[in-house]
Amino acid sequence: MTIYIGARDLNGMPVGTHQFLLITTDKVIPVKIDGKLITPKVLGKGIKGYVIGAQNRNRRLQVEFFERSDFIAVKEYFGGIEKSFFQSDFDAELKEVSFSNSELLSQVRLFQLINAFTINQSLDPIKYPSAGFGFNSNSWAGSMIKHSGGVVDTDFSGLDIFHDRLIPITYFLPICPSASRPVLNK
Amino acid sequence: MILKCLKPIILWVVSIFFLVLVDYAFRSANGLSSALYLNELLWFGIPLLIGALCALWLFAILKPFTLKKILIGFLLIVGATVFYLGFILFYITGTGVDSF
Repeated sequence: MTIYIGARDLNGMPVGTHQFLLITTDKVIPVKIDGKLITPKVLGKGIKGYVIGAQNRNRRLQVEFFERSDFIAVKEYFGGIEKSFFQSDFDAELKEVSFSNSELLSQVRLFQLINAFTINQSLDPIKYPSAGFGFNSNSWAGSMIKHSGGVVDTDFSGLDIFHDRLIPITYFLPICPSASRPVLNK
Repeated sequence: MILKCLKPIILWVVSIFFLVLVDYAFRSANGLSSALYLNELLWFGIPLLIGALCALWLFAILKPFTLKKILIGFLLIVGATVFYLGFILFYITGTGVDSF
């Protein structure tokens, strides 16, 4: 089992980089996120895992498992998809995240954060910023790593804007905070 | 001369608007929210082809070349490229095709 932070080219844009998370696993154990069971999928020869990213859905920053472009990018990376020379690819780049805890504990922690974030988005949604200039999917991926205790350089090649902007931990906790959450991307 | 130079730029702007409009119309009609409808060959190929034609037209208007005319041509091409990137960025991220 390995936890990665990944980056790929934006779909339909000659410039721009989108970040996401990848958790590879040997076991097909479904995880429950916001009441829905998510099962790992085949990414390449003998590699299975969960691909998770934040996306602009209905002008909100929402977590999505196996988002079409993220999934294709990871499959390209692991050889699960072959592209012809005239087809553009997503040029995925993956970095392994190191944790002080065991990888299993870190994985559990990541899924807890995702679950809480997903639920919190129905209560305190983060508005997706205009043209991505604000707390965006790159911020989300980096924040997930940081809040789960992982260490990795989240600066990827390409224009991965706002990758270093941290979403406050309160958005990832399964609690109703006594003070209201700070409104992001006003 | 400036007015003449604007013609290829206007053609470029209208083409990009039209390309985005066609994609958006097909996406809406087919309920495709998180991907482009147009094939990537068309999506990238059409602007590349029209951009090359507009640049050739622009430089044909600017002939015979002087340093000032080359500078004007260069600035117009930079402006047209910035418009393309900005407009496509707003379309891609704003309508949920993909997100930063």
